[in-house]
Amino acid sequence: MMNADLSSIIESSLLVGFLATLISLIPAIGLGWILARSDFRLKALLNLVIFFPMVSPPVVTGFVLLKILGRNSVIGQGLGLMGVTIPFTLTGAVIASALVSFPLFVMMVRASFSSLDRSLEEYSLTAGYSPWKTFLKISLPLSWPGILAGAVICFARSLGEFGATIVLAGDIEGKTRTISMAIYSLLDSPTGESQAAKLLGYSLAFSLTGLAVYEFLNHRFWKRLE
Amino acid sequence: MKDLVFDISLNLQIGLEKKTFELKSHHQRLGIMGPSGLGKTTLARAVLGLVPSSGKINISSLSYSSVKVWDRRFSYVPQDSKLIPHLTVEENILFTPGANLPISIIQLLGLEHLLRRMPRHLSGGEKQRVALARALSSPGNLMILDEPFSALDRINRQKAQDLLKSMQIPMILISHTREDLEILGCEILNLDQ
Repeated sequence: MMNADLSSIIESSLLVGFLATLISLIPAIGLGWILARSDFRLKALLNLVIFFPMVSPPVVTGFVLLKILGRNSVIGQGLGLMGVTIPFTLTGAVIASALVSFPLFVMMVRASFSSLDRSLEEYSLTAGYSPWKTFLKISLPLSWPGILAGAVICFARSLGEFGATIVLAGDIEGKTRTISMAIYSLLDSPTGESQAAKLLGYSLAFSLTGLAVYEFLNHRFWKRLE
Repeated sequence: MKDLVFDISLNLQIGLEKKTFELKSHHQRLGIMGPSGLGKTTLARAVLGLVPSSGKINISSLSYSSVKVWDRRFSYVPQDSKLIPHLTVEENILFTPGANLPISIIQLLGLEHLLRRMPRHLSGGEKQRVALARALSSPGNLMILDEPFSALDRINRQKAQDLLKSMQIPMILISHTREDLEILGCEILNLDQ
């Protein structure tokens, strides 16, 4: 493995982890809020749809995605007309990773919103803030540690995603190959173990950095309350 | 004859029971008392619009029944003096849109040295004084105070009562002690009777 290959693999992995977290952020906050606060007839169905990728084997999730977004599907053909291709691209890797890690993100956000002291939101309403402004002024800032934890877990999970990604995005060197895929390929070669160990080190370093950033920001949040 | 300041008639669910509350008064200050469990706080929350109810809420001849909670402009001192934990004392006092820092009130309640503190470092009495300052800084159309003196010592209780006596807006005070309501010159409604 050349240095250029190594940097391409690391770059792809970080990009997938970062973009998967970024595109999940707003939907995770929105759905986490809905699941924590709303009660409606189709809530069980919504739960099922959101959390299905968490319980299904990642390869199955990848296969389902391939069927939905593949070139022969209605959506795939529609995207093709707009010049967008999902399968076997880095975009596909981002979508697969995001979908697999999304339930964990929503779970953290939902728990955070559920544990909020509702009387503070009520107070904000009586003070003259609309529900939306109350959400921005009270609910969101106080749920920040849970949202941050969800984002870090989403990033770490996306960084290590393998099953769904390899089915939807494939393992294309210089294009969709991430650390997990590279390790898998290297372990298949008789001389690849030392290089796989190197990538493993990078992978662990990124995950630990994510956790350290979380700890730092979380600590700052609680320090602010002191 | 002078118009009613309070003309409130609300149907509420209190525990398993449905109750109707009638609050009618020509006085600016209405005191509600009675033992725990009779629905004093629920009634206050219904007037604020925080719990579902049916009926009418007329304050100083204005109807609020169909006005959204955030448009009623009622100031509220909750029973447990809840302060917003990620804001300083000063930011809590200024939380209501358009609120100004009421220097004289802050001095009278002895809060000057606490303005930059975070709420978690305040005692129960300090929190209650901040909650009072917050309500007094932006009194709105009605003040609702739920046991506002419960954590105050005798001196601060008297200062808080003096401040409230000087307010010229309709006020609903909830207390389980008649004395607090009498000192403030409230017309008293005893829910136990």
